[in-house]
Amino acid sequence: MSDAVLNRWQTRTVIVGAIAAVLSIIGAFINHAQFFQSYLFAWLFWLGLSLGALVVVMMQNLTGGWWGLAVRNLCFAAIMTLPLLIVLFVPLLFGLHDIYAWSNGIPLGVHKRAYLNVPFFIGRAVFYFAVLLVFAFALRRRLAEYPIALSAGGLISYVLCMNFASTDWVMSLDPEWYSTVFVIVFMAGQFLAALSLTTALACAFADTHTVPAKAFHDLGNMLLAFVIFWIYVAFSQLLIIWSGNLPKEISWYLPRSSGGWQWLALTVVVGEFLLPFFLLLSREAKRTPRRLAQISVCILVINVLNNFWLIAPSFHRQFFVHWLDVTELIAIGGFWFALFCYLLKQRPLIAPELLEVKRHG
Amino acid sequence: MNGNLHGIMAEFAQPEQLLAATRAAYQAGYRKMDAYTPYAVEGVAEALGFTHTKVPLITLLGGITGALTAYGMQWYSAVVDYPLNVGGRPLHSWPAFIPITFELTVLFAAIAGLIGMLWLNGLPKPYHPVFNAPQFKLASQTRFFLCIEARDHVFNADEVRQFLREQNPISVVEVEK
Repeated sequence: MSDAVLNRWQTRTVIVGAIAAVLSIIGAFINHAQFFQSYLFAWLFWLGLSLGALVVVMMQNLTGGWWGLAVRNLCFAAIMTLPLLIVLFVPLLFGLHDIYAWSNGIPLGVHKRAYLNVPFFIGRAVFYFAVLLVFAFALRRRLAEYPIALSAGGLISYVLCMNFASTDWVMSLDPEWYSTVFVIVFMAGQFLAALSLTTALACAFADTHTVPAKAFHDLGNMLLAFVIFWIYVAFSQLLIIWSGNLPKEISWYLPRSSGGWQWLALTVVVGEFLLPFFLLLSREAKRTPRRLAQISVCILVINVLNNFWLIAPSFHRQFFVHWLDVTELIAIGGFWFALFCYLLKQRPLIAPELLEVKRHG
Repeated sequence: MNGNLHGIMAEFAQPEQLLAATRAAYQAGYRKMDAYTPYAVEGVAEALGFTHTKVPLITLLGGITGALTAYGMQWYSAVVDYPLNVGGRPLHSWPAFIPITFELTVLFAAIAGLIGMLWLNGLPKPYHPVFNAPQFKLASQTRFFLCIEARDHVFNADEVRQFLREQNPISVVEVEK
């Protein structure tokens, strides 16, 4: 993509984002509880793209090889949107009482009270962001070196941060509920979001004459592996809770499998696992950028619905989409994409290392 | 024509020569041929016209069979043959059936893939005529062989011999069945 194209998209996405933001702010005055509930969903989805991209790059640094080179620079741009997302976390703090029941003084055990309270919640978030930012900027500074120790440390820190962050931001929507595998489901979702977006963009905009088909094949295989991994961990959580059938554990699934939400769950399973799984089995599909782009877009769109299914049923017993869910997703997305386009201009779309590989056969 | 002829085989010193000869043979219209090399030579399989294999399809069919077998077996035993009330759950408790279904899918797919690969390769094969060629033991050491087989529909022993000689080989020999 040339700079002119990126400039054009940057302007467009800023305008779309600004319009959606104005609508969302109007909506905040009409229904402020809904505003914050939709905001959590929208923010978490876009955060997932940045953090998933961080994992893709650090994993590629660790494993070596050239499987990730086609999306490396796209991922770098996604990582560097992290400061924007951290700034966008601040509005959430004004709506904690509308989102988290535990912040309203409902009865909790002593130990839970020590963890789930507003000051500590904010303190932890600051800590996660500080850690993630340090690694994001350190990676950027040593971009060309494929730093192994930094990436290993970064991945470990990311998992530890997400372990608590997924508890704070999502699991605590139902303060009675806990699941130790949830963090892995959460991280697999982030990874899928980032990999599917960057794969779709690489397929759509890379010059297919210079990028070897093997590069797309590798990305397709990675997507295949991760849709399987995601359903594997998501299903293990369901199976264990379903088998145990204990009131505190099933409280997460009851609202998410009734009142119309079960159809959303089914859509997510079909769209983020069954369909991509069978399509990605084909070698031809993985080597044809057009087909791979379509599959990636499918995974990405369903990933949005998956995030929605995680958050929204905590607030609505019956299936319900508020217009704020849409406008806030577009508002944050518009600004996110504008920054993403701006950052993409700093480096070539496809890492030059990949073209080296092609030249040397 | 000699009815006891398996094919005519050329011996090459370099992989590039083998690759060029294979491409030329494919161009000349020969299809029933095979290359024998000490290590995998990039591009030879494609040059032989070997672009598609049925192994993925066999693996897929094995996987589907495994999934249906596992789910069907569990459904039949839990719902039809020996219904048992486990903690008040429905007889057809699909979440509990998934792990076995997953395992048998993988198992059947892997076994079908392995057996399918061996079957399509014609293995196990205790006897193969190419070992009658005197120099053939070098195929696992330093030499590269191309054998155009007599069952090819445009095979003509004299033409093939002539064709292979033009490919700059070390030797050209007839391989007896």
